[in-house]
Amino acid sequence: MDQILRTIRESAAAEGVTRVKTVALVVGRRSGALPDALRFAFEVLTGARDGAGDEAGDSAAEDGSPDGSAGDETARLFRGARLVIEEPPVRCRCCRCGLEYGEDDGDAATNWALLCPRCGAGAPEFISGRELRVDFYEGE
Amino acid sequence: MKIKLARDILKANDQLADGFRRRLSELGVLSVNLIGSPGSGKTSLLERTLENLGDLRAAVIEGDIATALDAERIERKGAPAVQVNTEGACHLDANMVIDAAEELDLARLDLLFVENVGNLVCPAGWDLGEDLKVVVASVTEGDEKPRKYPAIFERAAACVLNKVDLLPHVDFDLERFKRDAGVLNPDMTVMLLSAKEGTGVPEWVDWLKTKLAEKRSR
Repeated sequence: MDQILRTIRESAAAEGVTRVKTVALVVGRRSGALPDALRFAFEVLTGARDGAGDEAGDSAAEDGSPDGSAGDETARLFRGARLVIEEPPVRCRCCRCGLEYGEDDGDAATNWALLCPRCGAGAPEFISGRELRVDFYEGE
Repeated sequence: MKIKLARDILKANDQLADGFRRRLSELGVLSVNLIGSPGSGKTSLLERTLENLGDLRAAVIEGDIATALDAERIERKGAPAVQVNTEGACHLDANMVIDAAEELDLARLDLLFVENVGNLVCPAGWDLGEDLKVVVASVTEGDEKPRKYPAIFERAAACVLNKVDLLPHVDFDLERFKRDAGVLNPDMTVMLLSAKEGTGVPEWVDWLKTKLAEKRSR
């Protein structure tokens, strides 16, 4: 999440954006990243948890983050920003028979490895579900 | 104002890794990223490997959350080792590996091993500039590892199944393990090995030599 905010901070500086309102991510269901963990990190890093009476958060707001000015700058730029996460489902194409299928299309015997529900082949090509990217942000 | 970025989050890491891989390729060094649970025997495998490499020159970058114990074990085998302490992080990233490699004379190497932090989950997603990922599993961990941690098995060029000397004493269904691993990744080579007794080590070293020769002939 630190990397995501740094990417946006660099772009915002180039675009003259001083206040970010929305951050939109695409996190596929087999990307390995957890949307809830990303939301939590976003709240911590943008200072959204400071107002909740959290003691550590309050002192961090007063004393500045351990990172120094970069943390302050991040909190200022993203104050009140909303995080939107799109979670594309898994879609695969069978390497043997070409069938397109999702992670729930088979049964318990095949789903664990995303085996093709028609011919049983493994190691499919991923059409979607492995995305992990910043889509866009909105600001002014 | 809406600004479209469409940027991969791991791109910064992947670019660093690609640059490092190119540098290693120019030097003819084969790099291997060893990934496995804590206690699967990654360091023991490396110790055995170093004893059996013959003329090949190898170095090891050791990733651990804390301590330099593993680097000390490698150095006792006469190979250069650099310890990276991640101080809490559950995996190495490309930047850490590139920094550590500064301590090594890469031009004098044939093989660079990176022993990742003991973890079957997070390291799978981080490119360290390696040519090959190798997953190290052991029979004491149970035979369901491919089912539980498919991501690393999908991406690995080989799986070393360690501690096979203990097979008679543990409930480990070898056929099930091999079948599941093969379903996830039909191209992955599975090697049975005992770092303790040395069985399977020659086959593993031959596999490394073959991969090195393939890389240099490209």
